[in-house]
Parts: sequence; structure tokens; C-alpha cells
Amino acid sequence: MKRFTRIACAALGALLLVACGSREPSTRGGPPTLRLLTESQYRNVIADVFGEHIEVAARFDPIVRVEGLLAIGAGRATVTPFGVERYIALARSIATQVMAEGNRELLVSCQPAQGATFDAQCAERFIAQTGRYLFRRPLAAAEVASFVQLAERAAAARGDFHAGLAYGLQAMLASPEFLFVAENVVTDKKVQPQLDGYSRATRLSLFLWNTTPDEALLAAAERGELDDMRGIRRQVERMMASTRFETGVRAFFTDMLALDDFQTLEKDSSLYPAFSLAVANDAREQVLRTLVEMLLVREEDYRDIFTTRRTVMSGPLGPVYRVPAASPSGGWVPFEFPEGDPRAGIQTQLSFVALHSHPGKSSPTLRGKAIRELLLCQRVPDPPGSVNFDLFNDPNSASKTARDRLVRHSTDPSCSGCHKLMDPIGLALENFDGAGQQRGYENGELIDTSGEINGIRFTDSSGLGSALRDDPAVPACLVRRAYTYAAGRPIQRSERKLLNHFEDEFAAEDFRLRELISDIATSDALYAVSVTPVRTALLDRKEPRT
Amino acid sequence: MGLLGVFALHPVRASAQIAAPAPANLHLGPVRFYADLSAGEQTATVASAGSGRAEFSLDRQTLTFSWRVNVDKLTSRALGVSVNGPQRPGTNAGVQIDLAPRGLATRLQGSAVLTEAQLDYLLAGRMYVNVRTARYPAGELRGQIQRVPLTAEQLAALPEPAPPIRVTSSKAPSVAASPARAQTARRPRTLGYVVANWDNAIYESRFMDECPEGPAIGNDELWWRGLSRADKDKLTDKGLVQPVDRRFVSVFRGPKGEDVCWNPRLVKDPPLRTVKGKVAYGFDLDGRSDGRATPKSCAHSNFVGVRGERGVDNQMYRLLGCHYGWRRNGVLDTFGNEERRNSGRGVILLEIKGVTDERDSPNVEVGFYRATDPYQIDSAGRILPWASYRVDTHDGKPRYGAVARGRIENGVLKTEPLSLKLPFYGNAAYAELDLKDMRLELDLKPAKDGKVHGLVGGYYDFDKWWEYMLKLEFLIATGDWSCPALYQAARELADGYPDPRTGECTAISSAFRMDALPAFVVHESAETPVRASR
Repeated sequence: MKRFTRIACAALGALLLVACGSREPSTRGGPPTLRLLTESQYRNVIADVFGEHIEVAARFDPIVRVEGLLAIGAGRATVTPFGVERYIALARSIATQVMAEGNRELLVSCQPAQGATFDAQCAERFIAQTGRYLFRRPLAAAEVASFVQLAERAAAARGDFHAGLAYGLQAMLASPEFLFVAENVVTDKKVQPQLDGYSRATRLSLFLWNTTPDEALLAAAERGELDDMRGIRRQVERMMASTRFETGVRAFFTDMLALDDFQTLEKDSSLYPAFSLAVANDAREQVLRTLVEMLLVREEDYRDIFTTRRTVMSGPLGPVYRVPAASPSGGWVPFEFPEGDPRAGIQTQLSFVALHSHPGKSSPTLRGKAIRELLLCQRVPDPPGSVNFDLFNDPNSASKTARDRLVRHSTDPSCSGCHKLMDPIGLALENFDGAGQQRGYENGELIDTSGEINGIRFTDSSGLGSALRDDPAVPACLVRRAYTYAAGRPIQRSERKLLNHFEDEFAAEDFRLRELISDIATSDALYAVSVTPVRTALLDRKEPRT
Repeated sequence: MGLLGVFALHPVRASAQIAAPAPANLHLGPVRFYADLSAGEQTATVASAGSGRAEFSLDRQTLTFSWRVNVDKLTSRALGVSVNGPQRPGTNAGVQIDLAPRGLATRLQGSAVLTEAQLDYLLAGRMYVNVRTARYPAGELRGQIQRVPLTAEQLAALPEPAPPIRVTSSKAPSVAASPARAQTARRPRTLGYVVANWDNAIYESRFMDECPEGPAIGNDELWWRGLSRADKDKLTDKGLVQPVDRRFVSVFRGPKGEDVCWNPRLVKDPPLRTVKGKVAYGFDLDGRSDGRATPKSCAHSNFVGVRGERGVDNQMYRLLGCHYGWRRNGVLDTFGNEERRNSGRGVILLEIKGVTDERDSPNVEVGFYRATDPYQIDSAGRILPWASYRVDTHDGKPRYGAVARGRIENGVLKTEPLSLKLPFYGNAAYAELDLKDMRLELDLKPAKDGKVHGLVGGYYDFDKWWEYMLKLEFLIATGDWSCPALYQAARELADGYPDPRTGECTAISSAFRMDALPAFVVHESAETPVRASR
């Protein structure tokens, strides 16, 4: 009996431990961020605040990718003088549209009083309401007054209330308070510095919806509900149950998979006549729809992105994939490749094999590098400056396949160190040409797609997919990317144990993306900040006599 | 969360690369291979007295590859035994098949199903067996996999080799049947095509042999001849303009200024210059080579076909062949194809069901449909192969088209006659293609341009044909033809389906050259989801 009791207690203890989950390790957090709104965030904010019919016709300066994400690069972005001019012009365009007849009746909640006197009350109301969404916090009285004053002067000059109000709106849209997400810190000697409620709301909203906080989230911040985890959890649940969560997930994967590279993708139309702008656009959409369907709708194991045969097809993609793809509405149809088909996993979709190729041929190296860096978070060093590409690019070379042309990579010691990381992966995808079309031969020679990764041998791309699926770096990379995306900054040294914790939780939850995102969004770490004290002594230093 | 709309497709061919013949030599049993294993076959120097033999058997139907391997006198513990390939000079190839998936033993047995690529490597002689040991981890024994020669009895049981294929299109080269190879059984498949070009089949050799009287006289010339000197002066006082600009006046040459295309019997043009040559594209539609009348045809002259066949009925060629506009350098069919391509109207689909072998299938079903989707065009303006097209359907059935029985012989599809109606579009004009006794001969081996080429023949309903010609009136100057002459000649040359009351034939024997690209033919129904069939 005693033995039985001991066993029962041990089992109960284990059960409780599993049920409660492992505890989140404490972390000092990282510095608060100051990030430029990305293009997609800018567009989403305008659409959410003013409506999708407001046109945002502008080119945005590119943001440099840092540690794999534009979300982190946004924290190091600068705006050139020309960039400032563009933002001002864009602000003017948006403000003019908002105040145009037909729109202002919907977007300006008050009717100005008739007569020559400027209706400051109405202007104040509009500025305060709209500014709260644009600046992601309530405006101070002085801020409101400043914009209203500007609107009044403009209204007097233009002889029209709404024309004047447009100037006030334009000023808000061109303000750094709108364009930059600046996080504010609350310091309390008793506890670690934390982000204030509005900054928490903004982090959540950018992470889960890729846009400005909505009314419910702002109100929760105002009531102080986001200062504790119960309030945060309520909002996270609400936001993840919304259809807008899909927008956020799409934005995350667009960043993680570097799909913005499609904007500069070019293919030789004489070699790949089937590859058009429509194909490029649909290829980008295809991988996002595949991931959303798989990870959000069907809630499958994240690692299965390398082995899934289920995807979607559109009319333009059909000829490239050589599969039927016609829907009644001319849109997307679900599609499944047959068992044993080489097209298993997102690594065989055009969003990988076409995006990471040259304009006129495939590239095992680029593809291998993309998988290493984007999906395994393994940095591949840049090539040395002295590397000679002539051998690979020589059209008169006797080598018929890419494998033969790249043999030097594996035999030359100055090349092999890095290329052994990339080429075996990329060579397994050589059954897909530079446009992602399937082929069995290159220059009349049968293509060999066998290889090895992490000691696992494979004979084709689906074998590669199986090998990648079981690589522990895959879930670890997603955890890293998701956390740094949410935080908007690189990992701090003190957060390594935190990542391990998230990885363990992810595994315990069968690698479900929803659970991972929820874990991150409801973690204490996401809202913890470490602040370096300002050296105020310098400010008090007397200026030397001259 | 927005879910995507779903519906089903009938199984369609997903790849043109798979063209293996049906297993016609199943009676010969499985294909056997062997490999003698020794250290001498290794690329590196190996000091080993080891030896072995691997024997393989490949099932022709299922591609199941079975093996038995014996090895002896290895220098050290075996690490792995595998089939590697494809072999390249001076290097070791990767592992294709692990011959010891359940662990190593002196005698190994097992089986696996080959992929298409592995089958290719095997038949190309580029696979070898590699035995790895602790002392020689890259390989201690190796042996090239070779095919066991057929016995004398098996050789005697082989069928005669297939004769070279003659293609019907002059554009495609002749090809010989490929040699027999390890054969696979395939479920009946469906091949889909979209018609890219559709032209009147005008045989052209030496023009004066075909049209000794010269080119047909166009409307503009006939109109000019009928004008008085005063009228001519008046019309040209500002200079002579092109026929295409004169046509607005020239077609109105009826006695009271009537449009002579819409009223072709109002004027009597000189007889149309028709083809006098002996050779034409087409089919023997009436089963006779002497030109005599039959219950469904009027007496007429026959042609000899381009392959020497007798009794070819193609009165449409006789009618149109001397017109500049319908010949190779003319624009009527060219414009028609170009405009169809750019507008996406009048897209015709072919669907061939029940194909067990693209070289020989005795019993297939051929559907002709109208598509609701326009062509997909590449950046150079060409129609893309492998696009998907929905069949125009109403109440769950195709709105147009018919289904014919057919067979594939030596790679050429031939259909049984049937009546076909399809909406045709060309040169900004819709018409109903109404062909009785229509038959199709289509060479399924694609030409260099990826298209398959074929010939369509049948009796074209006279009224439907003339309706289309009327809609081409705006091209009367460009094509250089004349409505009254053409109408009169067509009435005389019509040779199909006599009217029981009048005895006048109501259809004209015709032939059309067409080419088509592989495509997916989509029949819509409410099932999910789409799966590719290979």
C-alpha cells in the first residue's frame, strides 16, 4: 500500500507539473524600441482609421533587414530628406481625400457650425479622436491645441472649414509621433521597468494584427487593464479570435520568408514565358494562403510545412505547376499533390524555388542559403571578395547540370566550408528550374537530386523535406523569429533561456503556431524593458569659461 | 476566417513528360538485372578479397524492384549496402535505394517501388551496388547493375518492332517508334488540349498548277469594271484610294445600290476561278472515290489526298483555294487566329478520355467543348500550354459540343464521324461551326513548338457557313473576294446532304488544319478538393 501511495503521489506530481507547464524564466528584457512604421503597417493604419477606399499612392523607402526581419530593421531605419518630402506629400493626399465631399460625412463625426467663425470645438473633437488612433495614445491638450490652431489658420486662408481641417490632419500624418512607434517606459523602484499601457497595446496590435490598436485595445490601456496579465490575456484572446489575426500572421510570414523580394524579382521571359507578374504575385499569395490554411485553420504541426502536399492554385500558377487550376470565380482553388510527388513542402513552391533563383537559371546555392537563413535561422557567411563566378557562369562549360558546375564548391577548401551548408539542400531542389517549373533533365542530362543533411540521406526534394522537418532548428527558428518580431528588436543575451522555454512550450503544444503566438503575447518578457540610466551629471555640467 | 470555395475537376493529365507505353510484353515476365560485386570496381584503391552478387527483378506493371544480395570475405564489419546513382565519371553517386533497411546480413532480400527517375537511371545503366564497410566506409565492393539478356525463347516471343510513325502535318518531322522499355501499366488517363489555330486546309504547291486561270477576282475589281468612265472620274477626282477604303462603296453595286453580299443573287459576276489542282487535304466523307452521288452527297469531283489516298472530298478548298486571302500569305485565317487569341472568344477544347497508351489505345472518347475562359498568354503573346479552361456548362451539361468515339494508332488519334456544333469566333465574328460527319485526325506527338497538329473534316452546313462569310464582309477588300461569285460557286460546288425537296446540296465538304496545346479541361461540379492525377 505504501509503495502504491508513493507511486500515486509521484504520478500526481508529474501530472500537476505537466498541467501547469514550465515556468517562464525571468528576464531583464531589452531596450524600448523606436521603430518606423513599415509600409504594410502604414497602409493598414490608414485603411483601418479612414477606410480602404482612401488611396495610399506612394513609394516607401526600403527598410534594411536586420537579423532576418524588417520588423527589427525598422528600429534602425532612417528617413532621408527626400523621404520626409514623400511622407508630407502622402499626408497631404490622404488628408485631402478624407476631407473630400462624400468622405468627410463619414469620417468627421461633427458638422461644423455654419457661419464665418471657425468651429474650434468640432475641430478639437476630430483632432483628438483621430489623433488617438494615429498616435496610438491620447493626445495631450497642448498637442490638440497646436493642430487645431494650424487648422484654424488654414481655414481662414482657404475660406473653408474642411480645407483647414485637412491641414491639421496632414500635420498629424507627417508627425514623427505617427510615423515612428516610440515606446514609453514606466519606472517604479519596486518592480522592473515596464512598458506603459499604450506601448503594450501597440506591441500587441502590431504583432497580432499589424496595425494600430483598435478602440477596445486603447480603452483597455486607458483603464489600466493591460498593466496585468489577466487584462492582456483577455485582449490576446479577443484579437486572436478575430479575422484580423490572419492579417497579422500573413504579415509575420511575409517578413520571415522575405516575400518582399518579390517586388524586385525578374525572370528572363524568353526562357520562362509562363512566368509573368501575375505569376509572381500569385506565388507570393500561394505560400501565405498555404500557411494560413495549414497553421491557423487546420492547426497542423508547424514542422509539416516541409512535407505538406496541400496548397492552393490559381489560374496563372496552373501552367507553371502544370496542374489544373480553374475556379468558377477565377480565384483560388484548394489543391493537393499526389503521394510521392516531388512537390511536397513550401520549399518546393515558387515562393522558394523561383524567388531564390537567377533570372535565367536555378541556383542551388541561393535556395540552400534561403532555407538555412530564413527557416533554420542559420547565418551563412558572405562569399569572399575574390571569388570567381566565371566557372559557374561559363555558357561553354562541359558541365551539363548545376551539380557538375558546383563540384568545385565541394572540392575547393576556400569554398567548401560554406557551400556544404547550402549546396546539398539546393541541389535537392534542382528538379525545379529557375521559374519553379518541374524538370527531369538539364541540358539533356538526368538531374541527380540525392544528398544528405544532418546525416540523413535523401533522394529527392520530398526526402529533403522530411529531413528538414525533423531538424530541431526549424521550431527553434520560428520561436526566435516570432519573439523578435513581437518585440521589434534582437534577442538580448539574458533572453536565451526564455527562448528555450518558448521552444519547450511549443513542443509540448505539438508545434501549433496559435499556441506559440499566444505564449509570446501573454509572456511577461514581452513587456519587460531594461533601461540604461541617463547620465544626468553631464546635463548639470557648467559650460567652461571662454 | 475566409475559407476558399471548392469544387472538383474531372481527372486530367498533369504532365506531358510521362509517355511510357503500355506493358505490351507482360508475357515475358519481370525484367531481370544483376551486379557482380568486387573491390576492383571501386573508384579508390581497395585491398579486399571480398566478392558478392546482387540479383534484381523488376515488375513491369508495378515497378516493384526486388533484390537478393550475397557478399563474402569482407575485410571488416559492413556498414551499408545500397544502390547508388546516377553514376558520373570520376565521382561517387548518391544513394538511391538502401538494400538493407532492416539491418545488415550476409544475405539480403527486399523490395522497393522505383520512381520514374530511378527507372531512367537503371535503364541507362547508371546505377551500381555499393557495399560499405568499417575499413572502407566509402565502399569496399561495387558492381555495375546490368540487365540479364533475354533468352532465345523470350526473344522469339517479342512482337515485331512498331513501324515508323508518319505524321499528317507537314510541319512535324517523321519519327520512329521508341524501343520497348520496362513498361508500366497505367490507369486510363485523360488528355486535354486547347485549340490554338484553326485554318481552312488549303493545299499549296505551284499556284498555276492549282489555279491555272489565276487568282480569284475580288469585289473591288468587279465593281470597278461595272463603273462608267464618268463614275470613275468622279470617284477618283481626289485621287485613287485603297480597295479597303473603296469597299464602303464597292459592295453596294446591286441594281439599286443594294449590298451584293446580303443579296448575292442580284448581280451575275463572272464565274469564280476555282481550284483545278488534283491534290487536297481532307477525308473521304462519302465513301466513294468516283465522285458519284450518294444518298447523302451530290455528284462532284474528288481529290487525291496528300498521302496519296483517293476519294478526298474538299469542295471548300476548290471554292477558296484561288483566293489570295485564304492562302498562306493572305490574312483571313491569320487575322482570325490572332483575334481569337487576343480576345479569348471562341476557345475550343478537346478532351480525350480512356487513354491507356498515347501510342495505341483502341477505344477512346473525344469531347469537343467551348471554353468560358480566355487563353492564357505569355509575355511574347503566345498561348501558354498547361493552362486550365472551364467548359461552358448549363444545367450541369456542356452547352456546346459533342463526344465522338475514336482510337489512337501509332500515336495518331482518329475519331468516328459525328455531327458537331461549336460556336466559332474569328475576325470579330461569331458563327456556328456546324459540321456533319466530322472527323478528326490528330498526331499526339508534339512538334517542336509544343503543339499537336491535326486535320478536321466534314460537311459544313451551307447556311451557317454563308452566315459567317457575311460577317466577314468588312474584309472583302483585304481578302480580295467577291460575294456574288463566291455564293454562286458555292451553291454549285456544295456536295453534302441534298435537300429532299429540291435536291440541292445543303452542305460543303471541308477540311481544316488545326493545332492545339496541352491544357486542363475543367468540368465544374460541387466536390472538393482538386488532386493531380499522374
